[in-house]
Amino acid sequence: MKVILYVGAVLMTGASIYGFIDYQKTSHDKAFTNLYSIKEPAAVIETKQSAAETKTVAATPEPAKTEAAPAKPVKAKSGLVKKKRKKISSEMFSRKAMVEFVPPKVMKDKKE
Amino acid sequence: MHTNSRMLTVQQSVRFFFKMLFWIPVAFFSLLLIYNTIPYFSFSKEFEFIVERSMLFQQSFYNASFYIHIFAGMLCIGTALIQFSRVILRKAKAIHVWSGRIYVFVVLFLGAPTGLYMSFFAKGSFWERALFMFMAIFWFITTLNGLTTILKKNVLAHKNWMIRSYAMAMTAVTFRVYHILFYLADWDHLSNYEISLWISVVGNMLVAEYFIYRRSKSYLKTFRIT
Repeated sequence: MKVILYVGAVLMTGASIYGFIDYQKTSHDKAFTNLYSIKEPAAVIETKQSAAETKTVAATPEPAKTEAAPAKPVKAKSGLVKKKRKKISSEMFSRKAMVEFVPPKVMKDKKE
Repeated sequence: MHTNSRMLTVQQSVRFFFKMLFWIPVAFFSLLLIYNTIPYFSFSKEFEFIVERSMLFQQSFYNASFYIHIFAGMLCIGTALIQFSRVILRKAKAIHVWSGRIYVFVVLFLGAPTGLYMSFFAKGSFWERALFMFMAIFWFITTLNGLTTILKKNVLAHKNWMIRSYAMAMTAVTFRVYHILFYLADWDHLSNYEISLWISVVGNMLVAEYFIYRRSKSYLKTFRIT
């Protein structure tokens, strides 16, 4: 019984210490603070790029913003906006986000 | 005498009806949870839950903790379903004993520690993370007390502590039910997640304490472990 208690206590203590240390490391990361924000447009994580390339990238429109929006209501023929009926499925019985999640885009290096 | 026996039969029938009213949905949603968890063991990263936390899953420790936690959760929910059966306890006590050992081992060494580690990265504000931490610690303590009391042959105390432990395990199930209900009620995602979490934890604890209160002569003494 004591062995069970000591092993369990060690595991719990280790988990809390390790979790706290890992949390301290990742809490400063902007990607972590925005991890669960679904309404915001997909964040673009830039890797190494030249100054000329950043200008051309900024000028092009970002289609990702429309993807992040939740399901839009369907317009009926009369012009009235109708809400889509929400369907229940067994797959919804989980902790996943009910809104479609758009992962942040990673801009790849563009080598000329 | 006939009237009394008829009344007893009616009372027993009503009790049985309410028991089934509780256990049939519990069993159904518990099995559904297990059924929905099994695909995760394909180790595919395309599940929405994993995609949402893709940054965290790049860390090998978090990755391992997640799979250990869901494996432990499946075993807990599955074994706990049969633990409250009087029929099994009377006719096949060994099943209850071994199933209980699996439950205790999985909670104390797998489920609670990994849950505690992952709580630091949980969705929501500081309070939701604190709640997950509380859940992990409370789940650990109640399960440990359940084990301690049965080793001391205190069956009544063992029942009470295992009810509390099971209530914590069942937050995984009740959370999902509330999550779907609030989704259908058009709540925004984050508020839905947070309120579902709080209601599942606090609600389950209150329900557990109510069951313990109803069956105990002295409610405060149910917190003893001797």
